[in-house]
Amino acid sequence: MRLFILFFFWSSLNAETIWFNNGKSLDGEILEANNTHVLFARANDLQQFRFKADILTLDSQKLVELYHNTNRYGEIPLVKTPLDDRTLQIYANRIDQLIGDRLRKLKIRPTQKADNYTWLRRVYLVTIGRIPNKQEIHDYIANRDSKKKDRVIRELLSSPGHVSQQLNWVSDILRVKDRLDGVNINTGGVYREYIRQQLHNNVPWDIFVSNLIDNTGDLFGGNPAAGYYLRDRGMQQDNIAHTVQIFLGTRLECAMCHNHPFDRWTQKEFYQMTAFTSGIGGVTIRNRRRALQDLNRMISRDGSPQAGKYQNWRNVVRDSIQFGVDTNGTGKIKLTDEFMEDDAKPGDMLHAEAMFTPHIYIDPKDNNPRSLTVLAKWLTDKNNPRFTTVISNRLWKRVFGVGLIEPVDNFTDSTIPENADLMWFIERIMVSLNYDMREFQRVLLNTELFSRQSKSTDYESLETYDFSGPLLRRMTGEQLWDSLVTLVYNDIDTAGRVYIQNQTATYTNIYNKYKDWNGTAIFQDFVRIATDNPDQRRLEDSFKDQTNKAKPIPDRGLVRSSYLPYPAPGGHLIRQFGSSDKLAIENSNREPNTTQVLNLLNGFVEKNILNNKKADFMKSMMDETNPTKQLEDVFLSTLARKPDSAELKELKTVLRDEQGFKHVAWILLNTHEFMFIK
Amino acid sequence: MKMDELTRRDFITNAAKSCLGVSAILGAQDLLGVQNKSHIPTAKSVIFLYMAGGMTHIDTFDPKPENKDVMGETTAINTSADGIQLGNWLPETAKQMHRASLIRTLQSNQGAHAQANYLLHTSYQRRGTIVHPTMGAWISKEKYKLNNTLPSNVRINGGSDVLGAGYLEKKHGPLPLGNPNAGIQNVTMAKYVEDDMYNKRFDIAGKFNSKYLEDFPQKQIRAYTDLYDDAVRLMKSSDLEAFDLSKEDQTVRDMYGDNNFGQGCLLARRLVETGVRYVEVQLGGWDMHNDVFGNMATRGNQLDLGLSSLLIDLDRRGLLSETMVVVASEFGRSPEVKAGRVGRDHHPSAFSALIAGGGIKTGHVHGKSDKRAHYVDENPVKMEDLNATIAWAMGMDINKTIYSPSGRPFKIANGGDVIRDILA
Repeated sequence: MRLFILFFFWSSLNAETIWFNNGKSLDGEILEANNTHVLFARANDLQQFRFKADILTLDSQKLVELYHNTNRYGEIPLVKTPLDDRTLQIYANRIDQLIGDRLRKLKIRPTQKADNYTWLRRVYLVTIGRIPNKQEIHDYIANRDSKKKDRVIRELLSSPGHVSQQLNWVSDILRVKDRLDGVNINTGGVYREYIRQQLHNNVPWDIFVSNLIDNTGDLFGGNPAAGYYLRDRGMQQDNIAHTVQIFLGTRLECAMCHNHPFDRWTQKEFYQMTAFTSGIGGVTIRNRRRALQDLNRMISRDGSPQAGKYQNWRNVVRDSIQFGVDTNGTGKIKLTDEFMEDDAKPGDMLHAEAMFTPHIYIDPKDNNPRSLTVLAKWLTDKNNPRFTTVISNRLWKRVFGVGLIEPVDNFTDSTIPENADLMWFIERIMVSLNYDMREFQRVLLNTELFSRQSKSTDYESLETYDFSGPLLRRMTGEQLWDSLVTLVYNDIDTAGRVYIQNQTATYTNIYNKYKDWNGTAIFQDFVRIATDNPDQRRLEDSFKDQTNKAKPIPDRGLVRSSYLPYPAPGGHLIRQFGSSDKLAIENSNREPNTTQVLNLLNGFVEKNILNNKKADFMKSMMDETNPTKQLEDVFLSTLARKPDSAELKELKTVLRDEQGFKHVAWILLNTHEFMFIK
Repeated sequence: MKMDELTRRDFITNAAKSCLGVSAILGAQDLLGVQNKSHIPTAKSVIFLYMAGGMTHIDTFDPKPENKDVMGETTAINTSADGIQLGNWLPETAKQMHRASLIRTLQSNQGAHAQANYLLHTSYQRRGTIVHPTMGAWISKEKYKLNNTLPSNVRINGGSDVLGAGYLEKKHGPLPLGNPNAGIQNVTMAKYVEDDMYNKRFDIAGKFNSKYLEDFPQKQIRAYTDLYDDAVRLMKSSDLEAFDLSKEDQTVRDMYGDNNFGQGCLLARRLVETGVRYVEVQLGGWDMHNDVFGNMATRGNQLDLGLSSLLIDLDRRGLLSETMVVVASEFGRSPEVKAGRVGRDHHPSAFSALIAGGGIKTGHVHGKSDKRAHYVDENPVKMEDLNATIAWAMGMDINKTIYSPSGRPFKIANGGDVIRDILA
């Protein structure tokens, strides 16, 4: 064990001599290097220097590139997961050490340790996106186990609530929505449930990403990952720009139309990247076209009054059977008139080439280029200089509220994190965990940093956040909703409160029936259905899943946000509080507006909780006869803590009222403390 | 400094004073090298009536009575404006044509709902990599608030996929009102709470919040403290009555038509009266691929009553001269009526809009479509041009370049040209 740890740290030391163009040299180690800059620590005094690689001699530049590119993370041994206590502690301690080092350098004191209640509320909201209920709080506080923190963390990370929280988070980034662009039916449901399943199985991030990029098959026929491409249907260039932004933190979109004005990407390089996804076209299966064209023809020839209805039915069938990926990627693209730079011209055929290391490209002579597979492998390669950084940084931000690099998806060659050592270290943790998202979060959640109080004052900028404590942040729209619904239904995460619409099942049935039929046969089936059921307006009614009918649940609008429509309807509390409309990457926000506050003051709280005798919160308050205990319960259920004496004094006046505890609950749900995660 | 609280002229005045120590005279602006982009706005507010789904243009604003085979069941009727005819489905509007003008030559390259709707509302082509702000959001950002309690941008009716602030701050997005009869949601306190108790609750919450703010003296917390005060002020404000249709005389309510669109138009008038800058009222159901004439009977009637009442009502209150009313859709519908289903399909190569008030000519037609209303013969108009005209009338600078947070350059109407011909 000790040998491994030693190896882990020592393998990082690259004692080198580097030579500069002016003849000088430096002994020391390369701490960090990317395509154009180097961070170097001088051996004799460990003084760090940051400089551009082009002032080095060519030999030294190659050395730097070697460090950076090959075996960047290839030599890190994988650890067994779930982590044993010792490794967990070593990882967490080292993180705290590196945080502490930086704080000392900045002459900033770390914040104090947070009390148990604060910690528990924060850990619940971060891992499972809702506040703890009072029983959960009691259980934790009463627990005498010295390892209870990690135990709670592990329980929460393996619970369905965590899947829900992660699904919301991923969907914000991937813009998962129910109506995947420009279609008449809910094609996004099957995509969303696929992602949920992947998260439920804790599929490692590199495999998850690879599956989204490299997939073939029909959307409703076993390849729901096609949703990744369907989301950007008809916009192949936008799609590659998104891929590179989401997974590599790099902004390419300016280079779509001309050489990038701020970064080094040329339009030609952009198109070389786009070429990787050529062949996908409109995310439609070519074999299905004929049948649909014939169906179209039959319907337009049909002069009956049913023609209008058949048109709608045709749309439903079309959108059920036509979507999917039927290519492995051709790896080449023909430039159109949109190309405006000098290093190629419209009409040229470009072959796919990676925009940075590891340097891979599609050979024009290759008969079976499989460019989607090549792209997926390049994207998720351990040696890809940005893949590991981006996901480690994103998850760090998820847990602590700010990334080590901000913004999280706008890296350029001059992006070097404020705490380079720490960034580098958590990347290596990620690799050693083989991209296990839950274990990675487990490490972060076990740090002292996470156990400290949030930073109390305003930060100057996200980019220079000091991490004296976690960032105080407001709950997301989803977290707020899930927390409020918990007060109505404590068992929000049990099977009884799962509500998945059965539309996916319906469209899968339609797909299964018609996928191999010709247009005439489908049309004749329309006629048959219309004749047998003259009042039936929707084709779906003939295909609803009769065997697996979802049991109706009461208040099916009061479920986890991850089961509600994506995006949530405009005007819904979730959207009022800034949840994404799923039109752009991470389009969610935490900006305040009046409708939010009005909803908390006079809307959801009154209607669904305080005036709802069936709400679990109300029932447990009514059951509690001891007024002191009742008051305590109100505090625990909302703010996850007990009241202090000053608060008790303040509340005396409202408590005299017969509906006293209702007033208290209203007050607490309208405090900043409720909606912020301290 | 909050730009939306100063007019551009004030800003230049201040800049002139501080830079040159001179008082602002026209010359000072030239000295600063600032082109005189400020012009007198002719409109204070906009009421945008969005016909969702692609409103047929032949059956409404561009009938071709000489050409029976494209007219189908529709006939052309005379209007109060010389030389202008409308489809017979809009008799009341026909009586008000002397207050309005028509654009008969809109054209776009987008024939699909989502993309065409996006183009109409933002002047840009829909892409995946950025979301552009709508005209309502621009107006909210660029124009100072006429009423401090109410939002600048309101949308009545309309689905859940809301185009709104785009890359601007979210506060410029529209306040969505799903049902004009219901007013603003959540402004009345629960029935079981007495005024007294409400105030007490609020005070205590305020005290707890002050304590929290002491522990965490941050902008984001303070923003919510202010917001709570704003919310209570709104609840107690008499301006809220603007949202309450029951305060309106029943005869007026009847005039507009007893449906969400008609009542929405009435609400729009009330809001504009109280100082809201931009109100959009949606009327859906225009995607008439089937039974176009049956649908026109209902939909056309709703539009007819709402629109004509709005024009009459605004005028008699003296508001029409400074309120621009626009009726537009994302595309038109095919002159060819499809047999069997008797429908018209998507048609972006020539379609129509109506525009009135706020500095627009009256009784004027801009542009001429061909004899089948299929293509544009004279004076084509792009969506960008329509938006440029609205922005110009509102006194906004359509030539300046604005940068999104990601550093991309944009213009309010994407470089569209003002349709000078329809300005009074």
